[in-house]
Amino acid sequence: MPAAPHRRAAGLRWVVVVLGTVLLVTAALVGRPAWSAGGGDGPEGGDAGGDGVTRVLARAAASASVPFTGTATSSGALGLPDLPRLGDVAALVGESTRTRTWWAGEGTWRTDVLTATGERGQYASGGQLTGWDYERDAITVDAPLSGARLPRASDLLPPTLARSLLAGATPEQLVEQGATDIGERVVAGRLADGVRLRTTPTAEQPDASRLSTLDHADVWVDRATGLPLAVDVVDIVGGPVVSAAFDDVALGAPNPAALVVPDPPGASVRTAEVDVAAGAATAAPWALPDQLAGLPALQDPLSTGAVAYGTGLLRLAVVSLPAEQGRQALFAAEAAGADPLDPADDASTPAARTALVRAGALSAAIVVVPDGEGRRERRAYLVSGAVQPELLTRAAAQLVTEPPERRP
Amino acid sequence: MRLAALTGVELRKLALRPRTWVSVGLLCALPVVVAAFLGTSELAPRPGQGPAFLSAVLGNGQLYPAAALGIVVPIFLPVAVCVVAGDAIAGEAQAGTLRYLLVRPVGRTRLLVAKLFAVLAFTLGAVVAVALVSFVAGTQLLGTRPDALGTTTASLSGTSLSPQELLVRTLLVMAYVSVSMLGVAALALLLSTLVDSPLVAALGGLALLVASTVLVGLDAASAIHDLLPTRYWLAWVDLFRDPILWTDVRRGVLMQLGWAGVLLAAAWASFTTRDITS
Repeated sequence: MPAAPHRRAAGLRWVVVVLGTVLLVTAALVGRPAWSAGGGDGPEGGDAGGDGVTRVLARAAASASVPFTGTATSSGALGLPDLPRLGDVAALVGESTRTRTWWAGEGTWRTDVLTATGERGQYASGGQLTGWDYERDAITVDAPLSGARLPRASDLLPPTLARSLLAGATPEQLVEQGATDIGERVVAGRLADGVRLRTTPTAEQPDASRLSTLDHADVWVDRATGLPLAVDVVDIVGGPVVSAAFDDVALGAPNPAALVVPDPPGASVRTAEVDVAAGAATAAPWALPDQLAGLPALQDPLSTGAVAYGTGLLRLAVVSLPAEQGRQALFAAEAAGADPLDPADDASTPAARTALVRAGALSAAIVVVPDGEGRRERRAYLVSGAVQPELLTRAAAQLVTEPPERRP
Repeated sequence: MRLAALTGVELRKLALRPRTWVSVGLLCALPVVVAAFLGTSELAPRPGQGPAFLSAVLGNGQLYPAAALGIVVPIFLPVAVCVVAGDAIAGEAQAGTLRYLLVRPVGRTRLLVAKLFAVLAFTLGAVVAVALVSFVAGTQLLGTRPDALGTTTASLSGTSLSPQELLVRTLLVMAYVSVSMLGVAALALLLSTLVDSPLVAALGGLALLVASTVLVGLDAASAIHDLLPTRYWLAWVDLFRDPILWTDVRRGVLMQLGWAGVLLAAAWASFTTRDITS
């Protein structure tokens, strides 16, 4: 073959290869949302295009009855230490977690935590939670579905995380607190409306934005069904705190067979351990107040020893601890180098011993009150939240100075 | 020469090479050694540690083929595939036989395709050999009594898998693992058309493997994770969930087909264009 045509043919071959590669890479990158959609429904033109923020929030808050099947990934940036009786909490809020969920309704669902070498499933049905751990070859039974407890994988699904952020306030109140429209986006192949929640000053909390360590939370809500598809919580320095998003999701009733608790051959059956939060909430001797540091209680303080306070992004969680447990926690925190809450913030806290622990956006304080009626009568509290220590100090001061009622 | 005949010649050459059997033997030896240690010590890795299924194979050797493939997939199998693919063209060039091979009425494209088939056959054969040897090793060394053969096995989700279901899923794992090698095999084959040293071609394929593995573990590189050839290599574990989680398996297959398509096209453009001097 003469040299020139040979060079032309060779050049043409490489042009074909390069063009094909460019097309393939472009298709892979541009088509990633559709690729991610997997077996889910495709994007849908919705009826909520002109929805106001209030309506989007109302639909998201009422989405617990929307059935779906999907896989999701959540990730947290809270570097909690891996402590005993804390279960998987440190991994849940500090690492990336992949889950597969079949959701028939609030009391009937299955969530599997998918790992490279196994699977940990949780089956909710009849008010009970049954767990399956492949690598331990064990079934755990009789865990209560509701009540005070540590976070579990299902709490970090985009819909449940979004609903917990929206709990305790009406959509109108959230709008008053600064919730705004942030447009639309495709999540797992579905069109979603975005709403940004903020901590803005209100009449009850004029310094709310200063007291929170969170800047905002973006909630992406499926336009067709109101199901939250993604949540991103961002701290005041712009870093991610918790993120959760569906990788693929299919709307509609899940396959009933997937919700049946397995009966693996040879597996051991254990009764679920009471986690540290549930145990403390049950054993808590003192009732917590209806309002703490200006924040309203989200649960009845007489019914549980662990209560969440606040609305929107400004939240506190308080556990009334048995005195001895509180003292041990205090000593452990002090031994680990924890400082006391700053007494300069409030003159009342010197009456108590406190220890402040911070992990990323999260702050927690252990408060032990020697009330002079003997060791058994001492009170102890764990106060925590994505808040500045100043708010913990206010809460601690109120808990110390206001004499509590004994729980029934 | 017709493609079928040419492929037959290449397969025969592959089968007659001692190093082919040495590499397959080494691939099979590792799971046997692991099974021997597990069987004698009865110390499986703690839950969550070690390769998938290794903590579950004690007392159930029927699962061991999947566990054995999990052991060889990250390094040993791709190394063997890279060595064979890297040798495909560059080996002929280094031995000085490529020029003479092309003097015969053999089109370069046909020769490349025949070499590709030989590499694929080696990959599939190695996977089958590892699965068969590890099944024998698993059932003999890991405590599965003869009367326990044929009983049900728990899936990752805790549901029972009948022996037939277990067999189907193991076959799916073997197919997926074979497909997962396409990317590194195609790169080694491309490099084999560019250089005259099989070692350089094999090392190039391994460089892609190492770079991809490092980037997959780097959160900062998450934007390109979906383009990395090793991103979904371990998705074969999803074939043992119930129901099977197809998402990543499907993505893994598409990914390998994409890489193989691009790299083999480049190999074709390179091989049909270059001047053969050796």
